[in-house]
Amino acid sequence: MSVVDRTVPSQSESLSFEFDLAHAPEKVWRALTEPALLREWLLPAVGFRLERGAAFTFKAEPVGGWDGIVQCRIADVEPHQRLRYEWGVGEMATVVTFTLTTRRRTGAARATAGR
Amino acid sequence: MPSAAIDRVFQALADPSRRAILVSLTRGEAAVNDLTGRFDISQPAVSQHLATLKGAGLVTHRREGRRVYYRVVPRGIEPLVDWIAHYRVFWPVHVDRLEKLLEKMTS
Repeated sequence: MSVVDRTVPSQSESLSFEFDLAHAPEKVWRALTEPALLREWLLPAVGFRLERGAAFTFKAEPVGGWDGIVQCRIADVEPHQRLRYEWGVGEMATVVTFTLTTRRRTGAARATAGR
Repeated sequence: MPSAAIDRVFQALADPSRRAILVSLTRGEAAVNDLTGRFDISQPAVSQHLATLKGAGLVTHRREGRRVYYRVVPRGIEPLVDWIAHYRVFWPVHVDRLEKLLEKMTS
C-alpha cells in the first residue's frame, strides 16, 4: 500500500495523508472506532465513546519526559464517513480527522492530522 | 530520543542571540573574540551563549594557545530533526498497521 503525503509544502501547520484501503468503509470505520481494534493498530484508548464531546485518552509508551498520554475529545462523528477528534500532547493541541470515501471497487480512506 | 537532549537543543535555540551565533559559526570556525566583533554582545555574554550551545551539543571547541575556537557540530541539530520527523512518520506507520489489521478482520 502506498501512503501519499498530501501536505502542502509551503505550510507546516497540518499534515495530510491519503491512502487506499481495499476494504469497505464500514469495516474501516470499525477499526477507527472500536477500542479493541484501535489498540491493535493505533494506541490503547481509555474511555473511548463514539459521541461528540466525549473525552478519552490514548496511552502511548512514555518517552523521556512525556508520560505517553494523548488527551482526546470527539469533535465530529459521521458514521462511515468522518471522524474527527482533538489530539492533545502536553501543550500541543492538534486535531485528527479521518475522512472515508468510496472508490468504485475499494474503500479509500483519507486521514489528515494537524493543528 | 532522550528528553534531556531535546530540551537542551530547544533551550539553546530559544534565544535569538544564540541562534545568530550558531548561524554565524556555520560560516566557519571562529574564536570568541571574532564572534564578539560580529555581534553587539559583551565577551562574557558570548562565552556564556557558547557554553549553552556546547552543552546542547550544537557546537564544539578546541584550544590553540590562549585562544579557544568554536565550530558547529553538524549532527547537533539531529534531535530537533528527529522530533519533527516523528510526527511526519507517525501516521504512515500506523496506517500500515491499520491495513494489516483490516486483512485479519473478517468483516
